[in-house]
Amino acid sequence: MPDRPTSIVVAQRKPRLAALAALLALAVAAATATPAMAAVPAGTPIVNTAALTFEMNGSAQQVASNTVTLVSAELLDVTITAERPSLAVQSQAQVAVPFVIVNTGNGPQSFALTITGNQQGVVVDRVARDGNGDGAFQTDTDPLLTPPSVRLAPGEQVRIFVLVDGAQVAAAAAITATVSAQSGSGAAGTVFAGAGANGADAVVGVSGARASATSTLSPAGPAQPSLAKAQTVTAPDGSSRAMRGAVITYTLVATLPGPTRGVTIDDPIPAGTAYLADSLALDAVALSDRADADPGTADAAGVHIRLGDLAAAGSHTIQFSVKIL
Amino acid sequence: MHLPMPALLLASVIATPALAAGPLQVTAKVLTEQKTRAADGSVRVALVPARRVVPGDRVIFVLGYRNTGSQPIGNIVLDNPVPAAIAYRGPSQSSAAPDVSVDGKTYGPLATLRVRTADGATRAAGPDDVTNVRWRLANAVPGGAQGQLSFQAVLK
Repeated sequence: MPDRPTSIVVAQRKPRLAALAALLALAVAAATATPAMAAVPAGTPIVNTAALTFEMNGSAQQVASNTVTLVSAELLDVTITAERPSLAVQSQAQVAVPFVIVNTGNGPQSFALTITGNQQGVVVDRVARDGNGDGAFQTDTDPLLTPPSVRLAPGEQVRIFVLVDGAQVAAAAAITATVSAQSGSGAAGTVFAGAGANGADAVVGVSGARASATSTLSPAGPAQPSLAKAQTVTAPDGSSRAMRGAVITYTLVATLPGPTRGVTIDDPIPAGTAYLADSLALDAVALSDRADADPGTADAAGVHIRLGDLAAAGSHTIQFSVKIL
Repeated sequence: MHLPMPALLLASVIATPALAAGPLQVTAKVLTEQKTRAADGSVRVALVPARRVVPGDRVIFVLGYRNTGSQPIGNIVLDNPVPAAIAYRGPSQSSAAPDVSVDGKTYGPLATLRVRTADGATRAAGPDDVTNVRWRLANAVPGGAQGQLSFQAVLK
């Protein structure tokens, strides 16, 4: 059955709907990482004394051992997660890329943030803290971090936003956020003498006291105009077999997810068929084949509908028929 | 002599300095694993006195006892309350297995102990529940003899 591809040409209006808000609303679900066993805070003294009881000369006696005191050193550990590993960006809109940082160490620690972008032109110079913890960036509640660093209690987590100008995102861009403990980072087990809480030694944990996460930004919104095509066949014998003389009625449904400018729909008449005169209809209203005031024209080559500028989202249905030659 | 137990304990604690002047001495040590990488890439694990520990580090509590007198001493019981920041893991390979307790009153093998949960039911005790470790020495310790007992734990 001939069914050539249908083309739809759409020039997109600048998105007036708050694409940013919609994107960020999805980021509300915060990662809540709770350590299985709360780590002993850095600086905690661990005091051990054993008692020994015994019998001598018929009487029970007790002695205590010496007391051994250990002080828990500060463990430097951190994790960072890209809350939105991939983010679609509407051009011109400011995009807040969310990351969640967790201090998985056992002492209060400052973590410096470094943000890098792999695409030229995508400059990241601002990082904000999700001050009210709602998962969405607002200028009034989420302060900018200058210099970019966060101080976290043991086990505490925070969400940060890397602020990117969506207009700069022309191709897929990777934004990488790296956190590292201010007291020091490096190979697990590295000791920074006296660098921990209250002058305790700091010891690098399994994370290396450093972690990175990447979020990939891609241009254009996730909602694209779409066109669906369906057909029904009516044969002269009343069946739906595609035979000579049968009429194929095509139904095109164009769905536009937002305000869209300059919408035209063109569908060529399939080879081996002939357009059935005056069969063109838009949203169940018949259109003339001539080029005139109504938005549709049709000829032997194809049908053309000019919807023009559409102020709101919506869908439109076009129908026309051809006869199998 | 039938002093009530608490009074007796109090008296002995006050009367006895940490390192007893009496014939039986007990010393406590806490060791940790120190890994050193040799030039050929092999890793050597040595036990050294713990000075710097971080959560997750394995530590070994060692109790040494010594009878400095000449008479045998019987019914020796060593009791080591497990510090709150420490989670018991098990006896050391070289040591006799201790009895443990999850409440400081009832002692036994860990598998026989149960803990009461918030809803009033009980569940089998796990190593994290252990509050006290205790050894009863079956035999009297002769004069001049010594021994060592130990258990493994981890810093919470």
